[in-house]
Amino acid sequence: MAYLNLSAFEDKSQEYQTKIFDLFIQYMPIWLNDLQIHFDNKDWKQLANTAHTIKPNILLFGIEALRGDIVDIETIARERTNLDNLDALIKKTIDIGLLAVEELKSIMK
Amino acid sequence: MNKLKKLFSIKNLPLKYKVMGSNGITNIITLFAVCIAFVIYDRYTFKENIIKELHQEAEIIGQNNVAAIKFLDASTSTESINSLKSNPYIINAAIYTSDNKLFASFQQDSSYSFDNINVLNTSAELEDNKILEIFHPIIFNNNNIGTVYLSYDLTIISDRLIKFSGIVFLVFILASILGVLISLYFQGFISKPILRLTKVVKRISENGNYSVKLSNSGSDELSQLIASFNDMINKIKTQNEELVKSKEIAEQSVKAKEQFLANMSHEVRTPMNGIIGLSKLALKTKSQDKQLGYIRGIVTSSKNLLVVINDILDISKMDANKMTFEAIEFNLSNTLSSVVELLLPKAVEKNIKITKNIAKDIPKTIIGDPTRLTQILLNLGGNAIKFTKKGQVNFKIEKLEESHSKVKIQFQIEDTGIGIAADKLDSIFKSFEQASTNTTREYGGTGLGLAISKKLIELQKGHISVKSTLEVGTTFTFYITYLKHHTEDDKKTIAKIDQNELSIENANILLVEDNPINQLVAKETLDAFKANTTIAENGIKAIELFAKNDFDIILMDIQMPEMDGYEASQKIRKTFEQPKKDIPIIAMTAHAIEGEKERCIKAGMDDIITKPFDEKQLQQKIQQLIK
Repeated sequence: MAYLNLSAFEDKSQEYQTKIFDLFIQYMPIWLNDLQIHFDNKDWKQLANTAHTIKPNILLFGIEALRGDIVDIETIARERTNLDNLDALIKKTIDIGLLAVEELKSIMK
Repeated sequence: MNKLKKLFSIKNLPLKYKVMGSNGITNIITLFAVCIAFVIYDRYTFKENIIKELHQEAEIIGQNNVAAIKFLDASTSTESINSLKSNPYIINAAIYTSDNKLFASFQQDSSYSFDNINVLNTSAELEDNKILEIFHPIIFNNNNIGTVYLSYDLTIISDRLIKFSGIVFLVFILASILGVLISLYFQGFISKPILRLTKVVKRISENGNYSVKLSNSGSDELSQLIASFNDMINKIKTQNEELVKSKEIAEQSVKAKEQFLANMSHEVRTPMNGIIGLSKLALKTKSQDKQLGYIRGIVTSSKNLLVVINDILDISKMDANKMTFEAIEFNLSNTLSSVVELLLPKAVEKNIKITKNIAKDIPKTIIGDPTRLTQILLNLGGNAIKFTKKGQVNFKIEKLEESHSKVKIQFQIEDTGIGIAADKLDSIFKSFEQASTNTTREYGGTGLGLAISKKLIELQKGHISVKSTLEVGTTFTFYITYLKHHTEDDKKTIAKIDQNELSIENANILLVEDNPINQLVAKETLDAFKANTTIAENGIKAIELFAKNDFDIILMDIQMPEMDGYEASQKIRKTFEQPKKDIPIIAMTAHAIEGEKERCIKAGMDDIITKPFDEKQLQQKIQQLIK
């Protein structure tokens, strides 16, 4: 797997895995889209909240490439410092997040 | 003309002459004024004295001739008056009777006639054409019996004035010369330090050497000026040195950035060219097998590109001091296991064995940034596998030091690879440096991995070192100090809970969580522990459910729509009666922001757990609060 590490679900039932993977596939693109919208609207509070929502799921699904970046997005949006870095971080998060969703879809198939 | 005017302008004169000139001219003017005043005063007093003396002489003559006048003895008077001949300035002298008749006379100038004199019977002086005439009455028994007349040549005054002025002028000249010499001597005390200062300033402006200093021993204003000047030069020198350093750093930074961009454009272009080339090939061919082969190649190139982009972002963040580190609880053994797991496919592919050895005295959980540690271990472990053709890669974790709150942990990554030449050991931690160009060609990579690892370690106040022997192997050793998770009291409590066999079976738990994935994860965990879980999507619904039902504990998400976890907890603590309001509440938060725990406690919550949570830890916390 290129983007995901699903070791957290290894000892779980197939039913649970299907449910949680479906939820990830359903919600992750919505949250990633929210990231972009809040960034475009410069709504830093909502951007921080969305990053905060996504964060445990990135950790849960072992998306190592985004572990640090999602923390950085939340910190930057909350502290409103180094806002110049947000654009690149959000682009990366959305790109890799969507690739992870695609990867999960292909696994489920 | 203008040039001459400029040359002799007071403004352009050297300081020495200005100081001398101001002193000298002041002295000369003062001296001249004094001399003039002295001469004028002398002339005035000299004339006054002459008048006084002539009256005294006339009085004596008058008294001596009282008897002669009374007895009309003119010859005696004439003899008496002739004694005035000894004074060459007395021109004429005469004695008149009370009826103004000439009684006796004496003449130096024979042409002179006494007949035209208008005799005054009172004491008086008349001056006419440098001749002074004195009339002095002869008094006997309070009666005016005659008048003494004296005419006096006033050229004596001009003679004296000439002589006296000559002497005064000589004194004036000598005093002026002396004044100039004294001024010349004293001007040095003022002008010399200023001239020295001027020379130094000129020298500094010409050659920019700020190392010069002026000697200074006095304490007057000029000495203070020199001391301040030395101080100023010192400060300018320091500032200049700092500016030079800053300039060098800025130049190095620009150079490094240029180098960075040049290297990165190459590193990005290589996989990108691969992706484009393979995509074109995949589009051209109709064979599905070939297309699959090309797509696999595209995936590999994309992964390589992603590694490069991640490295660029990391190094940029670190260069800009914008790298942040988490402080969350993590299990070191699990972290190492996941690192080994990630490295395993490549190691298996190369038939390399990976071993891990964690010292038993290492705390089970520590507080720090597991993501960054994983990144470092993956980097060093990945390099070890990359540069090892046969043999093994060993991960070794040991405890170096431990205090009440901290533990210093040493990590070693040892391989049996190609090794690094001794002269390259110092440079391998620099950005874009690899042991040789052959290394890049044969093994690939951006050359940023070690630089990133080193910076990540140093930013966590750690240190990394390397030992290597060519064709034998390399050992990277680094240490990082982590905070320990539990206090001694916590450990005792946990140990006690462990002994009592943890169980939350049949516990009624209200799970307040808006994120459906988190809801499912928590419910699955709690179901596994055979607890009864009721879910509320936000604070408002949680309070509604809490009002109608009895629960043993609440697991409260912090950030939720409608009503967040802080507000919901506060409402429960304030609006419900005992014992309901004392229900244990555990905050569930997705991060460990500084002060988060304190904020949760302040809002009335009892404990906090970070998402994604460790199942055992969640069980322990629930058990601890509901027992």
